[in-house]
Amino acid sequence: MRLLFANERRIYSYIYLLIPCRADAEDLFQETLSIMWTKFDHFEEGKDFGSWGIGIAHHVIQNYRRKKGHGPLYLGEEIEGLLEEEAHQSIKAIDFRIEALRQCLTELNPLDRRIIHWRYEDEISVKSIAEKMCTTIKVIYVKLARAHDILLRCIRRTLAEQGSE
Amino acid sequence: MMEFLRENQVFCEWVLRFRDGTLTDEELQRLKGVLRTHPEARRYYIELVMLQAIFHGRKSPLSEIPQDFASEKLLDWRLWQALAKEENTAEPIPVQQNAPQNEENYTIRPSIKQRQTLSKVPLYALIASAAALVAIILLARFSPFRESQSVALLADTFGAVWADSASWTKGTLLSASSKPFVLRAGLVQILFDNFAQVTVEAPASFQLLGEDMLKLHYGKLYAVVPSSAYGFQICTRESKIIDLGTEFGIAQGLNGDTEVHVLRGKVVFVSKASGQNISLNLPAGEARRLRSSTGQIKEIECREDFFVRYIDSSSNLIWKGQSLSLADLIGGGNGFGGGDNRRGINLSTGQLQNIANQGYETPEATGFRTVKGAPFVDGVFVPNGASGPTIISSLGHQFLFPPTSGEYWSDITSNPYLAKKDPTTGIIDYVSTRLEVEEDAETGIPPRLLIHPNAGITFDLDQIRRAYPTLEMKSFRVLCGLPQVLDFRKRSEFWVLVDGNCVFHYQSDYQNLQSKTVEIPITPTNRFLTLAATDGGDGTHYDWCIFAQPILIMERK
Repeated sequence: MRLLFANERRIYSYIYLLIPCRADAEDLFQETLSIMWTKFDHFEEGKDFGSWGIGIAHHVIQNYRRKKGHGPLYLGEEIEGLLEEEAHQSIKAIDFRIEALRQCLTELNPLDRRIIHWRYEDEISVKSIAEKMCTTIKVIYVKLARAHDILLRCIRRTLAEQGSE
Repeated sequence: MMEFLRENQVFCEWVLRFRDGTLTDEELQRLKGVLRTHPEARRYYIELVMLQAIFHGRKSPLSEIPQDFASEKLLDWRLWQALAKEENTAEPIPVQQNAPQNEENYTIRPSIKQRQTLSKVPLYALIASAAALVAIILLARFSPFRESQSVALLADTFGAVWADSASWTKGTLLSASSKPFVLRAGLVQILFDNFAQVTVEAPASFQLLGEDMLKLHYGKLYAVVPSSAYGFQICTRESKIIDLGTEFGIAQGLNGDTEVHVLRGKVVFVSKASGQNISLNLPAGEARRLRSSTGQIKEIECREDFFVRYIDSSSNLIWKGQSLSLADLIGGGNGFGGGDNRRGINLSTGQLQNIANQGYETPEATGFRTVKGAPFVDGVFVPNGASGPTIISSLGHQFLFPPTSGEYWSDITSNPYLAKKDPTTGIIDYVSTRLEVEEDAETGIPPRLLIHPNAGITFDLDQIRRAYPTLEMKSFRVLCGLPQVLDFRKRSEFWVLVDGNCVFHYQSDYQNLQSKTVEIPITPTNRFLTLAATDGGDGTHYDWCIFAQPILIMERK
């Protein structure tokens, strides 16, 4: 269980990278966890547990694609291949990113932080946020893009300062 | 390339919209192109998805944000701010006393000054507190750190050319600054942190004075101010326009004259030009011009189409609040102008013709024809109920029209003149199709569709939505009738259908000379709008059915 808690974010991040639909990504994550649980005897102690889980997630995604095909949120084999290959390091360092993010959230102005909170913590759609703020969907996306960009720059800066990247 | 993307946040917006499933096909292709060819874009994409995954997970850092932020305090603060401002100008409120003396109603009024003796200790404390408060306010307002903080974002640009070769592009953060922005050409849209949105038209010079204030030196702008930005101000050389929850346009001349047009809500218009102190409350539908040389304020016509209200560079949209013209679509325009009204659609082939054909010798056609080259038109058909329902859309919607001759006389066209051929001389005369109730527009006869029986056309509303994702269709309006030039009437029938259901039917006959206006609400789920005309059972001769000024009334989403 301890190993699982320590690595669940890495496994979920990998799945979510390739499956943009959150509900589908969470279903596949649960399926992956269930397979990991039943096949735990196959895991060799001393090896990277997260990588083992990601390997299982890879097969789960392939099976899902075979059954359901490619939805509209599919970037294509070539791009997905590149993303998978290049995401390895970022996924591995996800715990450092979380720590950096804690500090970086303070860089957002209260309104931007509020919108991020609505979007992710309260799971409110962009359309509903626009209605709440009496503005347009486009404006909310512009705001969200700005807030995400500020956070990403800050995380990069913080990780570079810590030598974690 | 990546520097451009990062600075402009366009890429970030694409990725967020892609993952929400709201990216257009064209944008998706562009996103894929960038991801395929730019390793830095892929790195950004991966990091953005990691960030989202962290927010989704258990123990998200967002859940650790102190509860006071997660509460509604922020909005409460705005509400109190708005209420405080409103209170200053509010009418006295009559209050009914429970046990009134003399059984009268009382009105709360400003208290009358009374002589009182004050203890000096609390007075000194009050003075000290007030001084501290003023110091805090001044520090906050004039702090040197304030200058560098961004207060707004360049949300969109359209052919923008800045003075001094400046290269501010979409996504640039804008700070309050002592130096004005000078826009030589094009349009820009500025989004303040408090969500006030200002569209500026070149040539213009403006300055951001703070998070809720913009100074317009010259040029035109349109402000959309939601409740979160209540009290937003635009200053000009001689005046100040204070928003009270509204949409308004301002035109500032180089000579100092100012025009204010209020389209929604209300504003306070304050002027000190030529030593006069004027303060006016302007409600929606009113406009004023301030002459700076005399300080006089004159009432003028509020012009709905005077200002660019909204731009969307991704769909090439420059919107002045106008409706979308179906006649313009047939002419090959984008619905907001640019169409050629000589064009037409052949009912037998579905071909778009550069010059519409009229006076066909009793051709017949059956079946639904899709139209290539007119993306907003789903297809055309010849209505005839003689052998059952007619297919009216590419998805197979059907409608049972009355039996007709199954013949037509003309292409469907937006040409305001009808080509009438003299049967004996063969000379073609071009006849105006103006309806009796219509007045000529500045450009001549207003836009229209000639749908000469038996003919029908279906518009694909989803294609229009895709082309203008930031606008919403509210209703469809049209004026149906036969041209004034005809001094007699044949029987003919006008039809409007939405998704195969009849929402309007009108029959002109030998006595009925009147035209009829109809307005039909359009909901977000409606897909097809169909206009058709049938011969009324007495042949197609002189059935000059005009669908005049056919428009989709649009609003900003």
